[in-house]
Amino acid sequence: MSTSAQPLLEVRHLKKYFAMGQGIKFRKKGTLKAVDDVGFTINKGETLGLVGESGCGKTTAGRTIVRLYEPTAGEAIFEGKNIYSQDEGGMQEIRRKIQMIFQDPYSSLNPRMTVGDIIGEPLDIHGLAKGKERTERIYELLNIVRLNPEHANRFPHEFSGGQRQRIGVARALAVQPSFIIADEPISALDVSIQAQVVNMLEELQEKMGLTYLFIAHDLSMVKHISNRVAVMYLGKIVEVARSSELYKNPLHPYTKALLSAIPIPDPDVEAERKRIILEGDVPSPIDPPAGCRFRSRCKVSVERCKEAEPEFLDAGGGHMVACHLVK
Amino acid sequence: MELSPGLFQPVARQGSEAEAIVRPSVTYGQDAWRRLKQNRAAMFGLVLIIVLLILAAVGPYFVPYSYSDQDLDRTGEGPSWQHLLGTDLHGRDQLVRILYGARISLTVGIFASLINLTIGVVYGGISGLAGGKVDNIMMRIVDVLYSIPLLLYVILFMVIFQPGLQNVLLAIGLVYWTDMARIVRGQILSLREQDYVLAARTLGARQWRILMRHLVPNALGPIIVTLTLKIPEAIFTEAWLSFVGLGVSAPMASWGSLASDALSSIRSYPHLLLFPALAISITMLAFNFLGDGLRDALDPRQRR
Ligand SMILES: Nc1ncnc2c1ncn2[C@@H]1O[C@H](COP(=O)(O)OP(=O)(O)OP(=O)(O)O)[C@@H](O)[C@H]1O
Ligand SMILES: [Mg+2]
Repeated sequence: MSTSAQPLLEVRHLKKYFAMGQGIKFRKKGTLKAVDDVGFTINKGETLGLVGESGCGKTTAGRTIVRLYEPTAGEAIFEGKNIYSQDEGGMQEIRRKIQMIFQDPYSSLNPRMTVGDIIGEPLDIHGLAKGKERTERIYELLNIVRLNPEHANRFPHEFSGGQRQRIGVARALAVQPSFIIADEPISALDVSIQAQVVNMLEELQEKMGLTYLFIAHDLSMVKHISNRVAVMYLGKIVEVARSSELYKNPLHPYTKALLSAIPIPDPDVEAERKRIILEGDVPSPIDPPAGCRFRSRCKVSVERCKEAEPEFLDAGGGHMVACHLVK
Repeated sequence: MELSPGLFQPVARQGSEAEAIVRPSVTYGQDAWRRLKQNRAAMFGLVLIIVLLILAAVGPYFVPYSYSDQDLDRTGEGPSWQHLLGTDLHGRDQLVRILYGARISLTVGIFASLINLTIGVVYGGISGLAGGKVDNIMMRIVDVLYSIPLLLYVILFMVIFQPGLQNVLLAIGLVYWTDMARIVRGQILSLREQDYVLAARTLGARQWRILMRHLVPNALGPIIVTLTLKIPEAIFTEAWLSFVGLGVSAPMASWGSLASDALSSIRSYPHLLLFPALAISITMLAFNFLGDGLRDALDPRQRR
């Protein structure tokens, strides 16, 4: 899909720590390292899948990029400009170009606003359309996500999960963004509707030249839509590769385990297949293991994994991985 | 039974049918109204309030006496056909004086509560939205205010400024907003992490817009309930102030001052105290019934 490899977004050494224990009196020492030195590049027109277990920091990463959270450190270069050094005016410009789609279609739409006002709000905020033009634009957006213009006067609770998610997409598209961060946009939906929403997102990407950061918690969900996939574990990215390459040739033990958890829709192959089962819980991001963070659950860890954190290196052809055992 | 892959054919989807909206269009307001209607006490309160409002507005025009007309042949009489609620020591018609009192009570109740509402929503809203240090400081200020009975501030205000309707209204309005501020702040704190608020932020919405378009409308239930319960509180405070002589001044008569006047002659003319007291009680009861009913009707935890 993407022939030109022009970077749209470059995230470098991004960190987001949360101070634990709030309130004036009881300031307990401790920082939760939700995102800890993350870097990746997304090229124009491509989709980068971001995958990892619950709590590994995917949402935090996405929200820090759009500056819903102020970063602890690092930079995010969007169209050549560092998002974090923008003033209010520059930020408002960037907000027109980066939009988000949220995981929960029930809490992402204001229950007291009509669908028309929800989709019209971005137009009001950025002064993009007024009066009749505004109404027409709302109808057009409803059309794009395959809802009827009559739906504009309805309230969100009258719609199904899939329909609500499409209203969320229409709201994001209202400002004509170039980049969309989709935070698990289908995990809360019925399986039967998931494909419908993914297909719509793909179609929109083709029609409008959109770029996606597509967050999901399991590899099977991003396989179809992503050009490249980044695997995240406990606040760090452990592996990035083109999706076909990642599925054929996973290098990091964590990626291997995630891949082996995906059932294969062929009973014969499924019966033969060896599964790598991840044991134990994800360690707390408040005090992650020293050295390699995955080592507490890694079947193949060696002495060196305790001592040093593995570097994030190219294993050939842009396949990046952070593991001492990969040569 | 033999299963073969041929048996599994996808069912054709009817495009238009799939998009049909199944759920009926019931807004939050309609839903709450439906539940309120089922609550007898609340409906009783609502009807009483409406009757009171009508009586206060047009009642005095149907009584053939003005509130200062004296009938010196009939001082201190009990209820009769000429004077339905009797007359006071100066021969003035008690009914018309109570109807005028209703105007004062309801005016103070409603407008003082509206001042409470405005201050409470803005103060609580800013506190909840700002969070962190600002929130902490703003809420400690409320705690300090609250640590002394609020009535004392009102009394202080009335002692410094002249007694009179306007000052009573201002005093109550400017003092009793702390509950509202706390409730609004609590609501905002829990609502501000909602995804639709984050969505508005990613769209570049300013704080004021987020507060007024997203947060306050979603906190409306508790706000309305608090407002409804603030009204009887204000009415009672006004009555109390007038009773002790700090409220509305002489020519005007509020329920509190009527009761106060009656106190000196309670042994010989008990009806003079009875009727104003009844009026106060019934009004407070009506607003409290309605407030409780609204709480049940608007509480989202009870939604099915
Ligand atoms: N506002 C916050 N304050 C404090 N800690 C937070 C905050 N947001 C997230 N965290 C913590 O940061 C870590 C990463 O959370 P995050 O929501 O980014 O994970 P995630 O990968 O999106 O998980 P999920 O798949 O469940 O959505 C978690 O341990 C979480 O508890
Ligand atoms: Mg998440």
